[in-house]
Amino acid sequence: MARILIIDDETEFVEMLAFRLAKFGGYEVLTAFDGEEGWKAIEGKLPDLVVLDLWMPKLNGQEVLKKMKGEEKTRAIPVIVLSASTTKATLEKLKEEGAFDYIIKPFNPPELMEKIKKGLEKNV
Amino acid sequence: MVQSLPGRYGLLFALIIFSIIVVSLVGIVYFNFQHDQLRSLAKNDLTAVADLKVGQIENWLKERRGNASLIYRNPAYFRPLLLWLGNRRDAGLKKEIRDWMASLCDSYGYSGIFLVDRKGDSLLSYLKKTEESLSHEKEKIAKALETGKIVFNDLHRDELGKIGLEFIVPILDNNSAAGVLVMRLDPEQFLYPLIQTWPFPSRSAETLLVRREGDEVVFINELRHQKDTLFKLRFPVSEKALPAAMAVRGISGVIEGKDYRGTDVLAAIRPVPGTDWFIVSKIDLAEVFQPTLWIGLRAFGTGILLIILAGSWFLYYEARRSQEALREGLTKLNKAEELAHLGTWELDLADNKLTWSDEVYRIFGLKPQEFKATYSAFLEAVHPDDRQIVDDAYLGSIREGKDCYEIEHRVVKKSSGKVLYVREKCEHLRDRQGKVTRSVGMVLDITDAKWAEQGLREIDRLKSDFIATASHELRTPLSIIKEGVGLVREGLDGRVTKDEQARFLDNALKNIDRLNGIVDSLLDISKIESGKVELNKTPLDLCVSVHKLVEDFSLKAKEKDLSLTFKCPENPLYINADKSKVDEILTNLISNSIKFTKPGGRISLTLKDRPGLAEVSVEDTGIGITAENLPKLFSKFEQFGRVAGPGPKGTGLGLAIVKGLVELHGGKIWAESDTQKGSTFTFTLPKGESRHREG
Repeated sequence: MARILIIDDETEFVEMLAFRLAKFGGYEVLTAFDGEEGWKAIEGKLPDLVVLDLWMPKLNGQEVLKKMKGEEKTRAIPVIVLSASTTKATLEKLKEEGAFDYIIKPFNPPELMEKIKKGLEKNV
Repeated sequence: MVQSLPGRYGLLFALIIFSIIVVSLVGIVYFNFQHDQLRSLAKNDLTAVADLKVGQIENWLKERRGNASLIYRNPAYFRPLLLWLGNRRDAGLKKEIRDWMASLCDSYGYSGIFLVDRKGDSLLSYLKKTEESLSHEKEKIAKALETGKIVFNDLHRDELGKIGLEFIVPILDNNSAAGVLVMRLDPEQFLYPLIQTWPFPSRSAETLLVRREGDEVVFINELRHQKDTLFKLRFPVSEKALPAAMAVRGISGVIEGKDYRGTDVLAAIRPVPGTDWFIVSKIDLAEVFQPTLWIGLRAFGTGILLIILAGSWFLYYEARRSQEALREGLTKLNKAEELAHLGTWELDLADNKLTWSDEVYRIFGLKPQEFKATYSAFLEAVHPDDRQIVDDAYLGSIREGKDCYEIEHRVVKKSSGKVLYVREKCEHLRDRQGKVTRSVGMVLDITDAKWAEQGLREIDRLKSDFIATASHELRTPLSIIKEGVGLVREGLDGRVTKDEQARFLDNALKNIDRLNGIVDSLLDISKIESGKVELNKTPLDLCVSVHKLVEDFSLKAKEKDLSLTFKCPENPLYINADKSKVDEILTNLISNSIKFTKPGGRISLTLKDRPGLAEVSVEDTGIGITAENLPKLFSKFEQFGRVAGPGPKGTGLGLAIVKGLVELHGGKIWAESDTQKGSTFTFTLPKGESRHREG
């Protein structure tokens, strides 16, 4: 069973997305509510995929991505950036920096599930 | 109205032409007047001279004739002569007669006296100068002997060239002539000097004595302009224009003609009574009218001088006007350049001389005395980073044969060190071979425009940031609402329990409220920024308001195990403010403190009565704000203290709204913070009139 880590400071959102991924996607879901906590979870649990928010306290999503790409053991983990920001240029830049894909909030659930599936396939 | 320069020169030309015409006309009229005047004067002079001379000659001849008559009629004079003629050996008598002759010559101006006998032989004579003969007088002597009357022998010239005239007086003895006395007069003694004198200085005037001899007119006095003509110069009487010929033809008065030289003359003709002589007093017309010529020349010269003076004055005046206009124009240009921040320059490539207008010096912050005025000196004044592009643009445009170019670059103003932005526009001037000889250009200070452009860009960036941030803040609750509702909808098949559905719907509802709050805040900030917030100000005791709010928040604080206290001054602290807005300010600050203070912490509100101001501080022992973030605290969508994990989310607009509301009331707000101790937010509001203490 693939393990997915959701990092976002919006607690209600994290709770519901985790429910979706677990109940409808059949994934093992881990959660974190800020960048620091998220990075620790990545390092410690080495998820198969990370759903990463951008605007977060302590460590933002971009910094977390940078850390992941800087570490050998986390470099290959696919990251799907999930953000309410609509600045496409920023999101495209994140892809250049190593993000697997991005999706804009509020998102279309089947589209997210499809991207997660593709990310996991790539990781395999 | 300002007249154009060609127009003024046209006027000058017209004035000169007009002046010349006027001066010429006046000159002609004046010349003619003078001409007539001079002619009239000369005519009078000539007439007077001729009349005078005729009178004098007439008198002289009358006197001489009188003398002759006196001797002729006085027998006493003849007695010794008759005696001696009877006895010519009487030496005593002869001597007595000679003495008498000498006394006659001395007394009456005779040049000689001859005693001639009945035969016509000269027996005795007295001559003052030389020996003379009586060859020409013989006929006349015979006539006197025959008639017994005095005979006048007119002017004549003898073989020796001697000129003379005689009165021949018969010596009567019983009604017959025993002999004659020939009393000779020398014209050189009186007659000729009389004729030759002229009563006023003249370079051409003379008097002629002429008489007719057959068909000729003979000049019988020595001429002024032609020598050795006496009795030799003769002209036909028919000579039309010759005044002398006119005289002998009987014409008298003043006439114009040509004299013996062929020169135009004005002449007065008078006959000498008792003789065949005519006096012709004449003067050259050239001399008569010479003053006219001089006057004309003088008048013309004066006119020309006046025209030259007027023209010179006009040109001088024009030059001065032009100079003044030029000076005024330059002053205006300088002022215009200063106002427009636009300077002009010129570079002469032949001697590498750069000329700057005053404004260029102002832009570069240089003084003329400290600037070398060369191309390289100019480059030194350009910002070091831009020198190369400026040099490339200038030299490149010449190399590539361009006529002009435009460039923007920076300048380091020497006087202040300030960096200015300028726009340069240059144009090259070429000689016939196409070689650039000069470059002219302008420098426009565009610093303000640049800053304004950058300011606009900043505003544009802030606007974009605001929209992006607002969009993000709106999308976040929306995504929660959508996900909550979506899960409920998808779980209607039973995969989502009722409890889970209820929780997800609660999440959605909570975020609908959150969304509503954000929209309200955005509207508030928009109203504040556009000045559309209307304050309903009333007198308010701030202590009462704070007390009430503290009571409202006390439960919430207690739930989080926080101590919430407040301290008021002894006397009421009145302000004149909109109560709802003051409550909003306080609510926001107290809420933030509760949100960012950990359980067990303290929150205390303190009111102070400052001069003219009411001061409120909200102090907490919360997480604090870093020094880096403190200046951005009151900006929109800044959430530095955002709490991770579960808990309420702010809009990031609260403090921006608080600041706007405080400032709308004429107050100020600031924050002090230490991440180890907590934060203190303080605001002031102007004090107002007291009315009553709210209960």
